[in-house]
Amino acid sequence: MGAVDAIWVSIAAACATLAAIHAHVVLNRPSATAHLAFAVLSASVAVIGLLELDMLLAESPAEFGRRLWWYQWPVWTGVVALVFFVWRHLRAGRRWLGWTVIVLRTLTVVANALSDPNVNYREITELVPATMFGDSVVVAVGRPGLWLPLAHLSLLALIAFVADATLTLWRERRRDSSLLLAACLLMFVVTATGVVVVSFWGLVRIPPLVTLLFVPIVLAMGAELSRELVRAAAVSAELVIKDGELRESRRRLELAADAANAGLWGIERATGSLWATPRAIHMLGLEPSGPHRIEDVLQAVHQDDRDRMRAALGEANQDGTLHTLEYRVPGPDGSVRWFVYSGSASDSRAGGFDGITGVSLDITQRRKSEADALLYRSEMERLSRLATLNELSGALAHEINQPLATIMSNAEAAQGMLERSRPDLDELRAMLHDIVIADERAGAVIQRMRALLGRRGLDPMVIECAALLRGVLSFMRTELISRSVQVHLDVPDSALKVEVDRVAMEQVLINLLSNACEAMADLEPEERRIVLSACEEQGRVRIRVEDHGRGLPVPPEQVFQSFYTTKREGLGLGLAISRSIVQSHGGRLIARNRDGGGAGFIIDLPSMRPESGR
Amino acid sequence: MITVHVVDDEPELRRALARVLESGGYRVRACASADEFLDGLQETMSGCVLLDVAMPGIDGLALQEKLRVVAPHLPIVFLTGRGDIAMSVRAMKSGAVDFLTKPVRRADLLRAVRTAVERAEQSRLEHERIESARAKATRLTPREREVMQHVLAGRLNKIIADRLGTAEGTVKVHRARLMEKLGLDSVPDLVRFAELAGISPAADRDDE
Repeated sequence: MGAVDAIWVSIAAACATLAAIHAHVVLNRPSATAHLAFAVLSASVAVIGLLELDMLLAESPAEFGRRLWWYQWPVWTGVVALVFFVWRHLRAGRRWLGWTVIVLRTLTVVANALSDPNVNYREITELVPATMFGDSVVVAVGRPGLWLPLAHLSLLALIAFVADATLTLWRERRRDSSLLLAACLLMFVVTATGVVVVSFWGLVRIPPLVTLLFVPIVLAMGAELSRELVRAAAVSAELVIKDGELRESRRRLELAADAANAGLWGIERATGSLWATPRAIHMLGLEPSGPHRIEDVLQAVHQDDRDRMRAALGEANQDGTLHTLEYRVPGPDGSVRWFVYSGSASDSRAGGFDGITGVSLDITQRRKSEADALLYRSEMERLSRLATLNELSGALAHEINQPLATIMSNAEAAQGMLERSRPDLDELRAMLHDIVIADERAGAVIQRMRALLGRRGLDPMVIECAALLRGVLSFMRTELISRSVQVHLDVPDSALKVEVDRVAMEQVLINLLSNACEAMADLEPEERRIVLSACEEQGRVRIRVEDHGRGLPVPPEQVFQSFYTTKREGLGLGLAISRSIVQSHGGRLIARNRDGGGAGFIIDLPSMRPESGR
Repeated sequence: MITVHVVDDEPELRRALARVLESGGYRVRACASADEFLDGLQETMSGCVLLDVAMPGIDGLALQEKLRVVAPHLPIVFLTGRGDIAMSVRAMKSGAVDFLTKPVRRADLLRAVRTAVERAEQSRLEHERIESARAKATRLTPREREVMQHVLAGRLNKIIADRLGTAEGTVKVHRARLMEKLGLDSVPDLVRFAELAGISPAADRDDE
């Protein structure tokens, strides 16, 4: 095998390899039309190369003519592919010029199909031996074909097309590999055309060398390809690392989530399908083997929470924020577990998962503790009320016995009056009226006692401050009298309203008044004075209980500690519970020593005055 | 007609108690507070005080203390709504006639008031007797008083005369004079009088 064989076969093989590589790219990515064009171009040149080799080694004019006839087909595909390659890969070249090239070349190939032996020659007269790279080859001699100008015109159009594209790239200052490639292409089409024109018009006897001229393009594309390969390898290596990191970070995340007893799950926006860690699947009580959808999740949660969850997820998809969502999941055994889900919606603009992702935690135990604490608190409140009532029991007995005495005396006086022959009916009416009033009074006391004794939740309602304070004073009346304590009530504005649970707030006030009485037990009776006042300050209602007693320890805050007491039989819970009651009304209970001596307690509550806007 | 002073701060109960007491034949003077009661108090007033323990201002027990000075002859019946034993003991020790708990039955109330009034009447009579005895005793001369004390000690005229260093006849005259002054007939009458008037028998002498 000589040098010509070696060179032509090598080039053909290189072209075929390039074609195969780019065809592979196209197979994986059908949209890569530039690669398709280059694959076709390379394949065409590979075929051209083999046919050229055949021609160079032809033994008869007929054989040369037939091979040249075949030669036109890969030239056609090559030219068409080249036009598309310029368009797609270099993003240059005028449309009409490109199409002119394609049309002219197509006419050429049609003319070739109709010609004998081919479009180039009307007749090949002889094969002249020549020497190339030390090998002996043949060069055809004969009469040029009728349609040969058409072929040459198409080549000139091709030169114009490529030159225009190169110029465009130059002008657009895209002086990178594209420009190099364009220059190579231009050189290729110019020289190839030159060689073909010159040899066919018999000016110089040179064999067809198109293949040889394609070598710079092979080199340029090869260089680009290798650069891309290197880049691809780097990216791929990076991807492997990234993939590993991703896997690791995901494993860590799941580990952390599992350790925190948390389940991670999300809903993809477009498809509504569920992504979840195994624990989250378990938490939702779903089948371990997927796939699951948003409907399965909604089906899994408690029916009373379904609409809320659907709305929350829908909202999150719209505005991107997911408010913390608490929901229940009924278990197969009828038990219900509580979960809290918090997360956010991400969109594909940032890349990655498009939809809602978040974490859910089992808060059943917390819920239960909260309920227990609430129960415990209400039980403590009740105990403290019992203690308060116990302290007041003597006074309360009086408070009830007083009206009972009125009733009894009136009833018996009436009985006596009825014995008379002519009873005084007006007086009897007056007696019955007094009986009714006394009965109502006793009833009210008993009702209030029952309210204080009962186990109950808070039931806030808007009431007048004055009514609240007067009610407490009437309830405490006897206690205050028997302790010789005078209360000065100062409620300037009857429109002053608060939203409170009446019984609970009465408990607080009774407690404070009772403590104030206790604090003044050592004083002379005329010095035992309490000021009970209510006023509005900065949109808040402040109820003050101020005494002239021995004052509070320093700092006054310590009186709110549980089990703090100065009373011999006190539980030490009254003030702690009073504070918690006031706080549960959105208020504060403040203790301080008054400047003139004595203790002052302030119940600070939100105002319910109609014009204050609430 | 006997007056009952009802002191209670509650008008309804005051009215009701008044009705019961009036039906029992008493006159009622109703007062809303200890101060009102004390303001209207006159020395000539008699009867009985029906007093509520728990009142604003001066309470029942404090009023009792005041009355022991101002009007010791007025009997007090307490009324209370709380059955407090310590308080009732204190009240009774301070001379309360009764300590009633509310609600009180008509019969109990009237009985208590009647007892109080009767007891007051008795004590008034006793008081009057003592006063008159003391008044009579002031009419005696010192010598007559001396003789009387020896008579009360059960001594015979002769021994009295011996003690006083005088004649037995003189003692007889003194004795007759004092019996006449006191309007008494016998020695037992004289002993009872001496108890009322607070005159004690003469002491024995050591040398006898």
